[in-house]
Amino acid sequence: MKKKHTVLIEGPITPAFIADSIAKHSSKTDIGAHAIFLGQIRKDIKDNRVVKNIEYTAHNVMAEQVFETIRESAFEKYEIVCMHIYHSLGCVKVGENSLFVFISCKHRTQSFHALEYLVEEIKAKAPIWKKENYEDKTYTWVGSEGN
Amino acid sequence: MKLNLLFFGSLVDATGIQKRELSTDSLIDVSLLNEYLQSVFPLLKKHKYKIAVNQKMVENEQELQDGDEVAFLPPFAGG
Repeated sequence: MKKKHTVLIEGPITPAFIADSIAKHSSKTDIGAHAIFLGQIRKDIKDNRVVKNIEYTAHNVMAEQVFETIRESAFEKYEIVCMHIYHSLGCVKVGENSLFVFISCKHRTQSFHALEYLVEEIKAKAPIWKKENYEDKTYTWVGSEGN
Repeated sequence: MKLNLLFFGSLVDATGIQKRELSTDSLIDVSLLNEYLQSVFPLLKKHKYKIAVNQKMVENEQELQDGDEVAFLPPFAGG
């Protein structure tokens, strides 16, 4: 049976979770390079409004299918030993992490290329939305500004 | 037939709904459904969005079947 991967997790991705994910790879001795991308909530200031947190929502079923397709395409394009993707749902505060992409390869070059490919694919294709909440209690849907 | 409508992101504000069941015999394809919804929720016309039927992106000509999930997806903003 095909292994099922769950990407979406509620709330921020914690440093402890990331550390634990790294530790789990010490037994996989064919790995020579890990490449990690972490998305972090930036304290932007827009029209004098300061970002407080981001609330993520997704079409969960469709997003998990899209992540699976992206995973498969990355395995086809690059020599990857293993791959983990986690994306937050719900509220993630400024300074916290919302996206964790973790690629492990035999050698560094493949890991760099695969990481960039994955992050760009996720940004372009995953049905996920962010509501940027500001300190003054107003908000904006990122990507749908001006509507 | 019954359709399960889902709205996401800014479209939740535009329509005031996240999820709704719609019974119809006349809205037989995506284009007709979209026109109908834009007449009920005029704010939708100001938004950019794509439509997915049963989790697959579709074009306007896509025919609808009983039990279909029709999702209205504004520009993605993951990460």
